[in-house]
Amino acid sequence: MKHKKWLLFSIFAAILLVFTACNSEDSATDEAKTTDEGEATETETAETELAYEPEPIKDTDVCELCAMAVPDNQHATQIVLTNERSIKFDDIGCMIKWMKENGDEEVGMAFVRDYNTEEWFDVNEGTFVYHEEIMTPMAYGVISFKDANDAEAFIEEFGKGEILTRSDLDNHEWKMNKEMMEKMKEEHGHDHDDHEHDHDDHDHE
Amino acid sequence: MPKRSLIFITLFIAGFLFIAFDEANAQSLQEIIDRAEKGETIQLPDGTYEEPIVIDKPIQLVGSADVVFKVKSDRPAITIKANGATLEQIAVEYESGANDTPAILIQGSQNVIRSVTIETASVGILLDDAHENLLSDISITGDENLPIRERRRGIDLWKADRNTIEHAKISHVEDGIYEEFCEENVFRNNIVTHSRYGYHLMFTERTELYHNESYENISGMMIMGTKETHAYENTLKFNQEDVQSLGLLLYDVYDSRIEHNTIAHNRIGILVEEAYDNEISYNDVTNNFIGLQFKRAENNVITHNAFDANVSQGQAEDSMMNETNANYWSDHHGLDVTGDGMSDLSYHVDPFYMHLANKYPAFRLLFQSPGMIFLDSMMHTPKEEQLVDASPLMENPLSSSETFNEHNTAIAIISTTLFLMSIITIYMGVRQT
Amino acid sequence: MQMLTVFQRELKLGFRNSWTYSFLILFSIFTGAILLLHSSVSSIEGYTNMTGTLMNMTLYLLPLITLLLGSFSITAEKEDGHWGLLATYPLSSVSFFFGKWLGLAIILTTIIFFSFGISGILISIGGQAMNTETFIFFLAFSVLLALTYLSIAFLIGALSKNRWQALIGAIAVWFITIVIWPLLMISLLTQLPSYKLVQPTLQVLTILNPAEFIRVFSMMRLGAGSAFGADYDALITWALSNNGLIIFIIMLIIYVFVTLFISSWIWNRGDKYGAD
Repeated sequence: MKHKKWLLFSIFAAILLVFTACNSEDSATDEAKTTDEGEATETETAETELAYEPEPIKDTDVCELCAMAVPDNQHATQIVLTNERSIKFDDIGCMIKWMKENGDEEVGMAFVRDYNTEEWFDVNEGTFVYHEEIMTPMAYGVISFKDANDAEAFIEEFGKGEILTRSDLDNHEWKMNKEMMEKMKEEHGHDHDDHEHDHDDHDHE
Repeated sequence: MPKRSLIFITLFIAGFLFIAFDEANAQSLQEIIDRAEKGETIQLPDGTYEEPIVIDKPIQLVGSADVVFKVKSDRPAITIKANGATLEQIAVEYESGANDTPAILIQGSQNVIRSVTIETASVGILLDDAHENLLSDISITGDENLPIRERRRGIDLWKADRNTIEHAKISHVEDGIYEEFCEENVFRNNIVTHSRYGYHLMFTERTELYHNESYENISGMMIMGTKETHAYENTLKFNQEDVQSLGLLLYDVYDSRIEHNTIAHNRIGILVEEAYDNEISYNDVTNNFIGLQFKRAENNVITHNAFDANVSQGQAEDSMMNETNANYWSDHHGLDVTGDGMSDLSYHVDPFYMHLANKYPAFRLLFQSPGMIFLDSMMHTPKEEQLVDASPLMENPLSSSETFNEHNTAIAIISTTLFLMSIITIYMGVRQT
Repeated sequence: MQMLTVFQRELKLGFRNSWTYSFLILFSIFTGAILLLHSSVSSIEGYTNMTGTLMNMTLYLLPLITLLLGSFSITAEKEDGHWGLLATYPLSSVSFFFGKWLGLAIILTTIIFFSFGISGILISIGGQAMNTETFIFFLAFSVLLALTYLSIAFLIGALSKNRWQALIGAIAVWFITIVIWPLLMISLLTQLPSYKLVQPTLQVLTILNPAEFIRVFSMMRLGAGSAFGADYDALITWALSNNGLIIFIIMLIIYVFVTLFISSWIWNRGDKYGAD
C-alpha cells in the first residue's frame, strides 16, 4: 500500500513537472521577448534596484478605470500591485483617480512615462505639467517628465502650463476638461491654424 | 466610302476634343470653382480628378456616378471652407501624406455633403469647428488590411455642433463616427462595421443617436464623458471578438437616456461605469456573453429592460444606489402573488464573479465553468453592495423573438447515419463469438 | 494481435453488459432533452446562453458515467479473476490496457452516437430546427470528453483494489475536476506569492484537467474566447488558428496515451506485489 501511494504521488509530480517544463519553456521565451522590448526602459530601474518592474503595454491592455484601450504612448501609466499584478491606465489622471478610490495599500509602485522618451519611471520621482490645453487621452491635461528641466523646457515651448509635483497630483482637481470646451470656443473659435495644431497633438488611439 | 471616312474623322475629332476637354477640366477644376458665382451649380463632367480642391464659397458641386477624385496629397482631397456649399454625387479615393490629413475637411457651416463615397486609409471626413452641416448618404471604407491601431476615423467631429450625419455606411476604419467637444449633433440611420468603435463620444453634450447600427466592431458604442446624450432604437450586435469588446459603454456619463436599443451577441452588452443620473430603459439585451456590468455607478434608473439569454445576465460591483426596478431577467424564477405582473421575489445581479475577475483577471478562464454555479451559491456578498432588482417583471416587456427557423435535412441525414452506425456496432458486438 | 483480442473480447463483454444499456438509455434521454431544449430556443450558431448551459450539463453527467463504466471495467477484471486467467497467456499489461481502452471507447462512442442519432431523428420528425454545426459540435464535444475521461477511469481502476475503491476514486476525480474545480483553483492560486504565477499555473492546470481543457477550447472555437479576457489572448489566437484544432487533438491523444501507459505500469507493479 505504501509503495503504491508513493508511486502515485511521484507519477503525478512527474506529469506536473513535464507539463510545467513544457510551459515554462514557452513562458521563458515570452519573458525573454518582453525583457528585450523592455530593456531600453528598464536599464534605469535596474540602477535604482526597484522591487517592481513595469510591464510593456500590449495591444489588449484596457484602462483599469475608463475601459478604453491603452495606447502604447507617453500617456500610458501603470501600477504594479504588491502581488506583482500590473494594472494599466491610458492617462495619468485615471491612475491618480484610481489610487484615490482604492488607496495605496496594494500599490507596489506606480509608474509613469517620460513625455519625451517614453521611459518608465516611478511616479514619485517625476515632475508634471498641467495645462487644460495639453491633449491627453482622457483630457486631464497632465503630462509627466522624468527630469524637471524637461518639464520647464516643455512649458517654454508650449507657451503655457504649470509645474506640478507628485504631491500636487493628489490635490489636483482631476476633471476632464469639458468646461474648457466653451472657453476655447470663445477664445479660438475662428482660429483654424490653432485648432489644427491642437488636433495633431491630440492623440487618442 | 467617303461617307464612312467622314464618320470616322468626325468621331476621331470628337474623341480628341473630348479628351482635350477632359484634360482641361482635370487641371482647372479649382479655377472653375474660383470663377464660379455664389450659388452657382457646377456640374462636374465624368472623369477622374487628381488635384485637391478647396471650396470657399457657397456653390453646388454636383458629380455623377462616374466622377472620381483620385488624390494623393498632403492636403485633403476636398476642403470646404465655405458656409452653405453643397457637394453631391462624387467618389473620393484618397491617399494622404505623412500627417493624416482627412479625405474631406469641412471647416465651414451649413454645408451639405450628399451621396459621397470615400475610400481612404486616412480620416474620411473631418468636421473641424464646423457647425450645422448635413452629411447624408456617405460611404466610407478604410483599408481592411491595416491593423486597427494604424487605421483612422471614418467621420471625425472636433468642436463641431448641431451637425447631422445620416445614412452613412462606414467600415474598416478606427472609430466609425467620433466626436469630441461637441454639442447637439444628431447621428441617425448610420451603419458602422468591422472597425474599432462604432460610435465614440468624448466630452459631448446633448448628442442624439438613433436608428444607428453597429456590427462586428471591437465595440459598438462608446459614450464617454458626456451629458444629456439621448441614444435610442440603435442596434448593437456581434461586437464580441476582441477581449475588449462591448456593446455599449457608458463611462462618466450624466443625465442621459438610453432606451429601446437592441444589444445582442456582444461580449458585454452594456457596461456602465462611473455613470450617474441616467435612465436606461426598454433595452433588449440578449445573447451577450455578459448582459450588464455595473461598476461604481449610482443614481441611475434601470427599468423595463429585457435581459434574455445572456450567458451571464449581469454582474455588478459597488453599485448600490441605483433604482433598478421592473426589468425582465429570463433566468429569474419569479413569484407573482399580487398579480401585478411583477415578481415578489427580488433579483440579485451576481456580485461575485466580477469582483473576482477584476481582482484576478486570470480567473476569467473559469467563466461559466460548471463548478462556478456551485461556487456562486456558496459566496455571500453584503446586500448593500449588490445590484438588486426589487420587482422583476414576470414577462418580457419586449417580445424579442429571434428565431431563424431553418429546417434542415442535414440533421436528419447525420442523425440517421449515427443511429444506424451505432445499431450496427451493437449488433456486431453482440453477435461476435 | 494480443491487443486486438482484448479489444474484441471487450466489445463482446461490453455489448452484453446490462450496464452499457442502462447508460445508453440514460444518456439518450439526457441528450434528447438537451438537444430538444436547444432547438426549441434558437438555432443561432456560436456560444449562447443555451450552448453554455448544455455544455455544463454534459460536463456534469458524461464524465461521471465514463469514470464509473471505465473504472468498474478494470476492477471487475481483478475481482472476477479474469486477469489472473489472462495473465497465464503471453499478454502484456500495455496491450491489455490499450485493447480494453479501444473496446470501451467504441462502446462509449456507440452510446453517444446512438443518443445523438435518436435525438436528431426526433428533432427532425418533430419539425424542430437546429443548427447543423451546433449538433456536430455537441457530438464532438461529448466524444472527446468521454474518451479522455475513459483513460482517467482506467488509471483509477488500476489504482483500486475493488469496485468500492473505484467508485470512491471515480467520484473524487469527478468532484475535483468538475464540481469544485473553480473553488479549488481560486483558493489555491490566490495563495501564490506573485500574481504573475497565477495565470501560467492556472493555464497548466487547466490543460491537465480534460474537462476544463475541452470546455475552454470549445468556447474559444465557438467564438467566446474573448470572455476569458486579455490574459488569454495568445491562447485564443492559437485555438482559432488552423493548427489549433490539430494540436488540440494531438494533445488529447498524448494525454490518453500517457495516462494509459501509467495505468498499465501501475497495474503491473500491483501484480508483482500481488499480495498487498
